[in-house]
Amino acid sequence: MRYENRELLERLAADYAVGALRGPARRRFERLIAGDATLALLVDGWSARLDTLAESAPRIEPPAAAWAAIEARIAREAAAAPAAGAPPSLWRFLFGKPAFALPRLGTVGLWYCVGFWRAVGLAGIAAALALFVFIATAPEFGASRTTHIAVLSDNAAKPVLVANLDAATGAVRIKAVDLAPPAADKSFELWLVPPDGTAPRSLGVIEGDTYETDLGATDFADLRKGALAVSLEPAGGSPTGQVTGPVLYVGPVLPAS
Amino acid sequence: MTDLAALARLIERAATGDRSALAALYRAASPQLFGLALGIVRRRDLAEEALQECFMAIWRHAGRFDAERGSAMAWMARILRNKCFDLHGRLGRETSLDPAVAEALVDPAAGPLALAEGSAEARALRRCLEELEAKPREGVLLAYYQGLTFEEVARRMGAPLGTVKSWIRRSLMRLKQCLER
Repeated sequence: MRYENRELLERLAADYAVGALRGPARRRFERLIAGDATLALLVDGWSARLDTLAESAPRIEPPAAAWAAIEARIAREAAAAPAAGAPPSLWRFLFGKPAFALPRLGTVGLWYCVGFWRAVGLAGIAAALALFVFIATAPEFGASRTTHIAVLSDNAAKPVLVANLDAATGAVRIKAVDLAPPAADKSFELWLVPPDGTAPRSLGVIEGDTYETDLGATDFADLRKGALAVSLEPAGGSPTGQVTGPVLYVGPVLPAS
Repeated sequence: MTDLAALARLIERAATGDRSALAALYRAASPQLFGLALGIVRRRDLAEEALQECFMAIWRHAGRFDAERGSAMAWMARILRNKCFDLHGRLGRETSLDPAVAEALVDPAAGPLALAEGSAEARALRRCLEELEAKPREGVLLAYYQGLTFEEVARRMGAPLGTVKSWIRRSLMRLKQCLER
């Protein structure tokens, strides 16, 4: 692993452990950890260091009802369990709530698809490497600021495209790292995957190795908490305005600093 | 003094479905975890909710605890703080300060942590914290114990955001180096 790459991951892991990484960025980072054993070890190391601070927290007796409520919940779960030894739900593991509690599952799919996020997670190390390469080459985009980044990877965790976003202007700049052109009758279409589970919104068709677009405030607000995805569509883009072909590349949006 | 090895054994027993082990773990660890939660969420009802969620997660995922990778208290604290951040995120950051909660607020400006007890790991970390300069240390402790973001630490300390970020990040790296010495 390159030193600079490790440094970036260390910083994110340390921010996470001390609690400074918050909100959607924290949840996205947790999904990365869930699919990336190396990153998980790094975070465990930071937790082992910092969470010993908990031993210095003041001891305050919780209300007596708290334990009774925990016992009751455990008893209810045991009664409702279909069979002993059922494997822990991956849904619960990834999202902290059962699959049926997720909004509009099945109609949306992408954001809540486990395989999708595991692939994203597996991309963690490779993504950080691509990120470093990208940051190192970012001056090609001129003086524009980068407030958020995304690394779009394929399902083998190979980084394919990198995006840098500027919250001040709504600019989204995509650059191919390793993108083979599509067949002559196909196009790559870029999608904004909103964090609330609503349908992906098209951001246009990618032609060549770079692509730029400017988003309005509403779209950008969704994007900064969401993800970018690329699907394979008929030439010229999806005929329906919705994703019709396979989703090839995807990457969560993370703050750049 | 919290016996971390005993807590670890209780978690391992809870992983086999032993509810009495979970009860014993709760008796031993819940006051410290509740104090930690109160400092972050600053309301007794929310701290209680975080504590409940934390123990449900401990019960469900006890099998994932690995004593090789960190102490029992660190593992539980990590789960608890994540539950606190979930609650906090849902409710917005500006919750009022309950006077009863003041006790739970570790005041980092009051100087080095006064606790002489704790595991060897906790004592080592405290020694390393004392090597930091006062303001960076305060930033780290505000982030950890009060769950403040970089922006909130900056507002609290009246320092520029960039300065606070670099204080905290540099402090964390120095702590790591210090602990590896």
